[in-house]
Amino acid sequence: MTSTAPGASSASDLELAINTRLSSVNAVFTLSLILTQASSPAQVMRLVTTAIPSIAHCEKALAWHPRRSGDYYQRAPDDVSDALARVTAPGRFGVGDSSSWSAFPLTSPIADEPVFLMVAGGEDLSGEETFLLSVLAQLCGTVIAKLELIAAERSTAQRVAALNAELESTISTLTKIMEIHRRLNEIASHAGETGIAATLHQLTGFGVLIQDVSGQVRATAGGVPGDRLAAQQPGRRQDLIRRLRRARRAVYHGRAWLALANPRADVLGVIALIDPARTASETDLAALEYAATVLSVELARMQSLAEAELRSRAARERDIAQARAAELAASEARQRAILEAALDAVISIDQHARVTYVNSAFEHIFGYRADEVIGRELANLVMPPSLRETHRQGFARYLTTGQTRILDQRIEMTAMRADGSEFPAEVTVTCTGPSEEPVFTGYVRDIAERQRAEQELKASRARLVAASDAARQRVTRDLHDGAQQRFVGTVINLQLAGQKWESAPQHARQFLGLALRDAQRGIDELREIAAGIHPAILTQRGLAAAIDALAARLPIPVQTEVRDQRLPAPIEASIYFFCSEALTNVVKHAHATSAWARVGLEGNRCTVEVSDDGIGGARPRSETSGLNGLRDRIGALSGTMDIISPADGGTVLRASIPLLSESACPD
Amino acid sequence: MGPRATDTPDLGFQVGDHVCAFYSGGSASLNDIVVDFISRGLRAGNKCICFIDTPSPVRDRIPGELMPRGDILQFFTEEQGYIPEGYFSKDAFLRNMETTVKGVLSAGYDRVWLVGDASVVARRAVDMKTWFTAESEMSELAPRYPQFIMCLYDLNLFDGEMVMYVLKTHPRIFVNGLIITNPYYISSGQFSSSA
Repeated sequence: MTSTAPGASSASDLELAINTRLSSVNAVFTLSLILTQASSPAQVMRLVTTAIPSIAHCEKALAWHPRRSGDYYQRAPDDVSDALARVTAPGRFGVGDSSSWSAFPLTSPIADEPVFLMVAGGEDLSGEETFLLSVLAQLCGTVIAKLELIAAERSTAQRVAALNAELESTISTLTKIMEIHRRLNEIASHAGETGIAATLHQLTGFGVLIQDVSGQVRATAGGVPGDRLAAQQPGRRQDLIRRLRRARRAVYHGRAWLALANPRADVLGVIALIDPARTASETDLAALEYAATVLSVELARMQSLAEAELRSRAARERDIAQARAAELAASEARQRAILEAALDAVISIDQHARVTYVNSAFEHIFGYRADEVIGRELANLVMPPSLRETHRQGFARYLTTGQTRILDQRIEMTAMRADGSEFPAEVTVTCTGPSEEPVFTGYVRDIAERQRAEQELKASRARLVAASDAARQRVTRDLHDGAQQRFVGTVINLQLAGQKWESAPQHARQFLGLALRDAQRGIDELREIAAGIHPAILTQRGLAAAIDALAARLPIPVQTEVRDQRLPAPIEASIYFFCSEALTNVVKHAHATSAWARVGLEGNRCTVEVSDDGIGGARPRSETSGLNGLRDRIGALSGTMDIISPADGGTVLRASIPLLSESACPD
Repeated sequence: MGPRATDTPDLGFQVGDHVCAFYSGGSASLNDIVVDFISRGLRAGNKCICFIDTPSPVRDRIPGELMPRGDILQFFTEEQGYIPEGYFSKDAFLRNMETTVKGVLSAGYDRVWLVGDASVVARRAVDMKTWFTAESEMSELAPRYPQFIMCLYDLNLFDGEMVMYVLKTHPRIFVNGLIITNPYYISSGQFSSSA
């Protein structure tokens, strides 16, 4: 510290005093220059307060604020703070018992209340020192204000830079997010879950795993560790989903970032970004969360499609069921109509053998009305008393053991009508319906007429055989009695002619004449026999010529009216023999004077009629009579024959034969 | 050697300068000042010697074309420069500095630029009176040789009292990018008598 020389009287003393004051001034100014190099108000204040004892006569220097402490000043003692706050100019300031303090306000354009540079010393400051310290305080305040402004500007600049960086980052993030949205929106409508996983992998570089709510893998992209593909235990899975639902954003769990795809209250899936090192950026997580949103939409869309498909399928099934019901109803109606139109009686009974249904034919055959039989036991209705118990036992056995001798077989049995009359019936029984509620349906046909027809057929066949035997015997007899005798006589006469040829040529010629006569007679008789079997004229010239020839041989006049048209050979033969037999009977039995034979066509039938003006009353006398033979012959061709022969005379035999195709005709 | 014509008019360096400079921004500020200083010396083809503890950040910033000779730039730590014996000796310090300068000149350099940070003085609690006496005498020695000397003081390590000593012992100040004459400087004799 330099010494002061207030009372210098010599030139050297004066020079020293001047130099000393000048040194102090220089000290203040050079220090003020150095203060501009300081980097903080605290550094400024520290340099100033530690330099002041080197500049002025004092013990120490401090920085006080009346109300508070700061980074480069202290809070003034409470007992002086009010007084200090009222200080407006540099000067002495009393602190406690000491009055050797001086206060120098630091002027600052930005401070509300001044900070004071407080200088304490045992000696009073000179006027020059007070001035220099005032200057130094103001310079100090100015430098501090500049530093604070710089700091504020720097802070502002840093904030602006930070805001710019943040804005730039935000813009960059938004740009990336827009790109994320654009990419995911592009694939959302057509690429499905696989596309979403692949796009998220491309956007982030991380492996992607999409699972449904139960943990089943639906899609992956990039590297996904195998252990992540295993399904999680249901309980832990539910805990995790609850946690994700509460978080409402991506959650890091199990070395992966997870986000829920839950478009509404439902959770449809979980999408995971595999990130073992936990290095995913906010942009990556934004991509994950938006992918979860897109996935939600996709899953919701798929769910809607599935629901629509289910509804459509249900509607189709309902339509099909209705169609089937309608078809079944129609089928039942058709079946009922068929049953109603059937000629056979149809009877349905339940497992208690009680009638549940009968058709119209049943009413007709059995003589019951339907309402009379529904609910009644079958056996009492349609079976003769002698068969009922057997039927009941068989029915019970079937229900108990399943053994049956009549189901699905055609059997013949005796049935009973409402009036108690019995008739032969052919019965077929079927069983339908579930085993616990079987339905038995019987089809009953009255076969009385058929049996009669069969018996008639048997009799007809027997008569044909007998007629054939009779014809053979007649031919044998005719050959034996006629042609054979003629040819025997011929042979004998020829032998006699031979014996007399040399000795009695006249006699030999007589014998030859006799032999010739017998031979001729034999030939004629053979021709007659042959004509009885199948006349040659019929084959060669047809029915009209044959019947005319037949009529010509009869002893009474016969008028013929035969359509000159060739018919199938069996029909022509039957008509020919019908006419031959009928005209023979006329000659033999009718005592007629005239007869008529007519053959014509009526539609697809051939009609033949032989009539006479005889005594009438003709009827078959035995099974083997000629009339029955005619009937059999006509019947063999599915034809019919009628006899009209009143007792007051005249007889008409009329036959009608269907014109069958030749192939259908018997040979 | 008296003051000569200005060799670096942009800053106002003069041959034989003993300049003090203050920094408060840590090593970055120190390095900025050092790099600027020695770059000027290297561009002039002069020998440059640095007394700093961390030379690599400085060396890395010096373009290779400024160092045509391998010895043109030399670094020493502060302890190597100021307290090579483990303690500070004013006389040894001044003698070493003079010897160093003479060695440079004998090596063919026209001038030598010396820059040193004084932080080690605060760290090693060197006696300030001795140190600033040496600084004051250095101001007497510097003009005798074709050299530029800059002493650097960290305002975070030195308080106002020390700063005032620095100002009393350096005839010129490097402040706000300019070298100005220090009105507070006093001669070595005055300093010795006042101390």
